[in-house]
Amino acid sequence: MDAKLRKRHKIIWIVLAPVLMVLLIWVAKDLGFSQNSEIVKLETTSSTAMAKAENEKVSAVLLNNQERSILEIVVKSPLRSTSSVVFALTGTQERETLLGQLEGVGSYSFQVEEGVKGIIIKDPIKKQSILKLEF
Amino acid sequence: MGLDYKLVLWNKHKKTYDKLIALGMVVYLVLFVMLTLVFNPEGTAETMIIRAFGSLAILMLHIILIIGPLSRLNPSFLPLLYNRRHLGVSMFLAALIHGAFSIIQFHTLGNVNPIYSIFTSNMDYGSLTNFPFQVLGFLALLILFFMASTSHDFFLKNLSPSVWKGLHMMVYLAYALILLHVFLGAFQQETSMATTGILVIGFFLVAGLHIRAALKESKVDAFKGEIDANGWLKVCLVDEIDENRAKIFTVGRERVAIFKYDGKLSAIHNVCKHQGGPLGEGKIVDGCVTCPWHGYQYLPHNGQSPPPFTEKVATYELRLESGMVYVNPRGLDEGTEVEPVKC
Repeated sequence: MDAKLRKRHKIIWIVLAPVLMVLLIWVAKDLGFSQNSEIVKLETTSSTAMAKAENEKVSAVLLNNQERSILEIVVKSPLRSTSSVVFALTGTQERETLLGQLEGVGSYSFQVEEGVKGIIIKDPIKKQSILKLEF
Repeated sequence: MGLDYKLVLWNKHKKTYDKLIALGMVVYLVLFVMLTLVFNPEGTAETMIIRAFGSLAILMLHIILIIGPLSRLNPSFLPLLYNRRHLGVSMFLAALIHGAFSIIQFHTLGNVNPIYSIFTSNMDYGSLTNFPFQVLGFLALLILFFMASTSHDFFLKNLSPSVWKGLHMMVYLAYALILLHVFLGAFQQETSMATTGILVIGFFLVAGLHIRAALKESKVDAFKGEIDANGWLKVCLVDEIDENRAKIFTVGRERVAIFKYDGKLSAIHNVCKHQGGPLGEGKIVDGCVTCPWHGYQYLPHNGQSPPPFTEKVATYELRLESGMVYVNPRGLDEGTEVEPVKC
């Protein structure tokens, strides 16, 4: 490289490195690494099933014990979507509250507020609703 | 050397490196598919292809980006630099497959043009977590396409090495777009400490090596030698130059390589006419200064490529006094004959 290209190269990296670092930190702080670990250990023996809804692929049970409400979601067969994110539907307006991501067949538990009317699973990449269950 | 243009200038080493590139890509893809089938068997084939080729392209881009600074910090990496162009084109092909399958899967089922759909299907440009990250990937793919399609020596020759090299620095913009594409896209959907960590480490490696190499180059550029009464620059003792090798000095704003060979000293401009490779980091092979990047050759006493090739670099006059080498900072026209100094 000649002197001009060397200088351009140096300036590019001295600018790019901190700018990119700030941008990545800014984006990464909202990534929510703990989201999937929000799966709550539940003592089912002391919980009462308040509501239940299911179809051939997913079942959702709203459990309640004295301390909190737990929404237990069981994915029975693959959803065949690029990405599956579950939201709780609350209130008469069916406000959507993000619960977390479903990564495949299995059981998931989420602590929820009172007044959950159902769930909706969406594919955020395709911007499509995959399924909706109402209690 | 570029007397005429062939699609690919194969040689034994290039073929070996290309086989290694192909083998590495196949091994990665097979491993990716196997691990996906074990840990995420319910995924679709399209998703697997998109993820496999996307992650492969990012891995290859990181390797490509660290080859340059590694070669400047340690010459033993130079053989990788020699073969970097094919690695770049292979990386573009992997990125193209990722992009093509993504467009097919996400944008071809609507009633609008798929390319138009990339820019308009999600207009949430003000959002961080829901940013239309596919736009960033598409723009990066366009840059990579431009680079892959102009990677041939034909464009290098016609655009001039300086313009060509400057244009190909757009790969850094593509890298930034790709990192943001992944952080705003894949990581928002499937947040994983492991994959995020790997990419962050990759970024620090790439940025760290580039800055370190740039600082090393700055040190050479900052060389201020002693100037004698005739305006000649005192550079080093003749014993400091190894046989068939050179030492590089900054003379004015340019770098000059002083070669020692067959009991003689000659000085030429350090920048190769092909891609701006550092001639002084090469060595004398068959009586010719041989560029360490792509093997272009020049005669040390006149800076001319041996016939039938036509490349020429500037030459410099030297003087030797009491074992000390002096160089005339006023460079001569490219290809000017200079009597070598006996040492």
